[in-house]
Amino acid sequence: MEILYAVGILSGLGVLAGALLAYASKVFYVKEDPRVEEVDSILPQANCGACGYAGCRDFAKAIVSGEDIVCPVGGPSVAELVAQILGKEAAEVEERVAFVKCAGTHDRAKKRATYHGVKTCAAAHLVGGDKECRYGCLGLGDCAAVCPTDAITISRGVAVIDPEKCIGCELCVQACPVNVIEMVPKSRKMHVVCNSQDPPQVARKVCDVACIACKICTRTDKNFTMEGNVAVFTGSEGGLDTAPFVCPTNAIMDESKYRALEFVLSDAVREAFEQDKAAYKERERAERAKRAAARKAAQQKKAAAQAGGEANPATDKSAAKPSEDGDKKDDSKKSNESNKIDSSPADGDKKAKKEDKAPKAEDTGKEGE
Amino acid sequence: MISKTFRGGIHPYYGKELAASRETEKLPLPDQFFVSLEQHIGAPVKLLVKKGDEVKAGQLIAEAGGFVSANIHAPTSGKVTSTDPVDHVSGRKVPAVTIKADGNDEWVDLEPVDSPESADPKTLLDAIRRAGVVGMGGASFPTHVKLSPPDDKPIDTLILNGAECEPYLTADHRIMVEKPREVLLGALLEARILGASRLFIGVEDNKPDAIKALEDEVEGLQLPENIKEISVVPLETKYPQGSEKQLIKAITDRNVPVKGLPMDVGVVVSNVATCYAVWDAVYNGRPVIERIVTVTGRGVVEPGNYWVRIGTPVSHLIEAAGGYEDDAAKLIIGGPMMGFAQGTDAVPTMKSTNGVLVQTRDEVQGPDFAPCIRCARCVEVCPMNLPPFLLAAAAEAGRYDVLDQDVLFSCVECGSCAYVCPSRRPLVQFIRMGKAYFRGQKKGK
Amino acid sequence: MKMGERKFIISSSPHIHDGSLTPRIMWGVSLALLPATLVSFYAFGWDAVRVILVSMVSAVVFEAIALMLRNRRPRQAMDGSAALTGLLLGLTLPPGISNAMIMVGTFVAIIVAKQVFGGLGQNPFNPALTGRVFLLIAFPAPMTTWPLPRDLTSQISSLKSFLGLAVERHADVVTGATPLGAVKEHMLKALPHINMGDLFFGLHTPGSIGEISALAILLGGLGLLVARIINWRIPLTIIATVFAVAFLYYLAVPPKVSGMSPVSAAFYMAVFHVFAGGLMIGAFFMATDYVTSPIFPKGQIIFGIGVGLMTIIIRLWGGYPEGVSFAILLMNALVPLIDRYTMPKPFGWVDRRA
Repeated sequence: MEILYAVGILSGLGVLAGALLAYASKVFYVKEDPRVEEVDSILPQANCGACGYAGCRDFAKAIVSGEDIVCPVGGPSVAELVAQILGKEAAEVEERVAFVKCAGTHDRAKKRATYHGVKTCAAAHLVGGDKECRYGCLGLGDCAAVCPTDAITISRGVAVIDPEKCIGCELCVQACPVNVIEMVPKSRKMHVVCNSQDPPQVARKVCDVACIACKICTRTDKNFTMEGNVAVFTGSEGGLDTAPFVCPTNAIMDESKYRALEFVLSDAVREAFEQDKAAYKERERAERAKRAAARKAAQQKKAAAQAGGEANPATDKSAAKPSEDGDKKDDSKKSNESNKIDSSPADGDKKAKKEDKAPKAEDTGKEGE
Repeated sequence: MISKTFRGGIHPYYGKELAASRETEKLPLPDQFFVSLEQHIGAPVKLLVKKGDEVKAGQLIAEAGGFVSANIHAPTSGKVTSTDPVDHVSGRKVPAVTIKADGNDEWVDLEPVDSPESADPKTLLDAIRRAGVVGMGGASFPTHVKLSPPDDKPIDTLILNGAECEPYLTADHRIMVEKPREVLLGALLEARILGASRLFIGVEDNKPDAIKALEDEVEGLQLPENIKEISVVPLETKYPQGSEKQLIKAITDRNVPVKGLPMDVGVVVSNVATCYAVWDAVYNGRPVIERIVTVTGRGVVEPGNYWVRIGTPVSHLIEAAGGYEDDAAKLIIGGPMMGFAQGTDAVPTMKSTNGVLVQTRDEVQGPDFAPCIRCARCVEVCPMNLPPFLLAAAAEAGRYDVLDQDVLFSCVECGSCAYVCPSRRPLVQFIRMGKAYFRGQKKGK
Repeated sequence: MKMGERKFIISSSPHIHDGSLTPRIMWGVSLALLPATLVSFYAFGWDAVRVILVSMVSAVVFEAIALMLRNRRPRQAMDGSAALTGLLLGLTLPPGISNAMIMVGTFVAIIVAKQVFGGLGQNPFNPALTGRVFLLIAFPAPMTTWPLPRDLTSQISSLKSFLGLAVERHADVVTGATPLGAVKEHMLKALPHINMGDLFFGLHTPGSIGEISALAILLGGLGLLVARIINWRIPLTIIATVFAVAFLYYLAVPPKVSGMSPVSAAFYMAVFHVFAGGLMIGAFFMATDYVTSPIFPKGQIIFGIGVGLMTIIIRLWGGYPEGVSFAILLMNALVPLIDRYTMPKPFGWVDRRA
């Protein structure tokens, strides 16, 4: 009998409380713009704070009350959807990813000391870090610690960011005490993997893969410019296929051919690259020899025609140069086209693309010929 | 004789016996000098020479880039071979002038101040400014700036800092023993510029010979009118007795406020080596291109004190001290408590380099540390009355938001807390991380 | 050695250290407990050996397991902190307690009170005390069965059980009440039967194995003070508070002791409260635990007074005869608050409101 009382009282209480709650939710209802909910559902919910707001919902409120739709993570697609809801223009958002401008692994970058102390970059930076190069990645992973998507791998003394996992929140950029991480357009497929502002003679001494400001790349491909003592790729997509091969220190990475992770960290991939480079050099040499021979033949013909005209080696060279440059420009056009064709299916199946890589490198090589 | 002191502090092994009694020797000139262009706090200098220039000793090679800045002079005669960056004590590479010495050590003509005892303060200040004198105790703040306090901060007391509380170092000790007269004359010049009526010389009581030498000199000194009180004050041998605020507290019982400067309580503190440089600048017109450096530690064969030209590579100094012991493992510019560990001995000496310490393998702490057990030892020894464990914990967790910046920046990084921490936590490094974070924030990073 | 080629070690200043090390402090405290441990061996024989051994070993094992689960090096379990927790817990247990119960106690102490909160340095409550209080509440009967020390029958049976010869303990073990229990139950009638010398030397009064001798604890405590592992603030304020409050209480409610004036009787009772039960070990070894006590000097004094007050309040008016464990745990909970309000101002601090 008693049990019934208990059940009865509890059920009664439940009904009463439920009624109260239902009533309260009606009476104390806070009117919120329904669009906030809608916008929030479209935002990526990474809650990374890159937009400057405390999480996606906060940002959704801000958008509804007139803020520009600049979600670095969601990119243009999200912006467009949100704009549709609000019926206004989407602000231009370029999708960007973070990139570590350093490939100075332990075996490539010279060490200057043994570091004892707190194992964070911020702490090691206070005593100058253990690398001879003061611009390079310290490799203690402050960036990886703040990365919300685990896109950063720390290995062999450098951090490498996977552009596929990177959502562009910039937290790593803020965390890095040496400012070696830079935001780049996601579409950019060519990078100079060095941040060293050291003068060339110093940079060369302290790191095997340092940009030594030789400017060869800037002459090869107009997408490269110098920023102080380091070259920078400024194109929005890929560059000249052969650009990585002209760099004497292998500081240029073509992401359309190699994944950053492997290019920086894998010895096998490095070796493959070296082979490609050697092959390229070989071809270049052959080409040059062919051209020189052709020129010589032409000259001889000319000389024969002029009958006894002396061939000055100096004028010879100056005459040779412009023609060579002309050849190059032709080349670049060709490979740029081939590049575009190559990169279009890249959005689809990445794995297939990876497997493709080695043969593709050869293909483009052949095309170059 | 009661030795004065402050609250907190530690009593580390002082290691002064290694070099304290070694008479200062002239160091032979090296072939190459690397004169760093970052030798003071303040505006960067303007370089006056270029590659290929011939310079003479004492010649101005870089000009002060503003009022809070200091001239830099060539340490010897020779040829400028490069202006590329070289290693700096801080671990960075900074612009420097590389000079290949020609071995003749020819000097420029020096212009001493006429009758310095009666010259007006402006002339004196100008001589000090031209000579590029900076705080030689380590802070390297331009001395002519320190000696020109704003009018609303009257100075009544000048304190000479001869505490030299850093273990192992004996550079100040030697200058007090060997050049007491010059140090005091320099101090009197400073006092006159400041209009100070009291002059105290604070010396830790582990240097009785320095106290004696200074007291003898004070007795025989003809005091100018402005000085009403002058005395040598023995201080308890305790680290960090030579820290500015602690020194002022011990001698005058005045509390320098948080974020304040000694001049807020009417005091200026000047290192004894700085006083010597002031004397040299005024009486001889000689710029700061030489100073006493202690080369010491169990990692060098023959510790000693040397008159060293600024810009001499540390390797040259080590060579003079008989080279490294086989188990040398850590090279420190400055003392063991606040000095900077170096990766290489190619780093050159600077105006503020008072010592080079080489530690052996077994003296060096391992890299590991354990969690804080809240033993409160750091709180006990902190001379600034801070909770170092808390500041460090916040920095370790990245919770900079819980830190009070005024408290954090009160830390003088003396290292007492880390010295006593049984968990071997690098407390100073954590605190420096916190400071670096806020400095970065200010810069808007 | 070629100049300019050496690779040195770089680190942040300072570059020297006074040589102190956390494990050394932990083992130092354990060493200070040696007198009390030896007295317990003497008084309770093999039972005491068994209790302490099981307690220490299981504590270290639990610590190692927890560290492994937390992906830390299990070698850290040998840093002395777990062993010390085990030792302290063992010393506060009655001699007849079973091995299983001890292990439950060390489990609670190491896993629940310490590792769950993040291990060494992170626990808000003293692990040993948490373990003991858990046992006291979970197993009240065995935790309050007090065999008399130096009791031959008990000794023999304890040896047998230690060697595994007897599965069940003999029922004829002579037990008694602890002095505090006696005072609590029989009020002041028991008083004349309590010999203050017994209490001090601890060889004839029942009690937890390590708490019976105030002298042994005092010796170890003085050792800690001399070695500067602890300071005087916490132990002295606890003892002084207990003494003062007890003295005032018995002045107001005078115990009738034949041949004693009310004042000296009150004094006698106050001394009794200082030496009885776990106050000594609590004041010197439990309340002074670095991790769970306030850091700043003022806070330590507040903490000490708090522990003293709680202890004597529980003893005089509470349901339990002994209150030290509860008092310390309660005050442990207040430590963050105390620390917050007793933080000293930096040197030269200027009030920002001024």
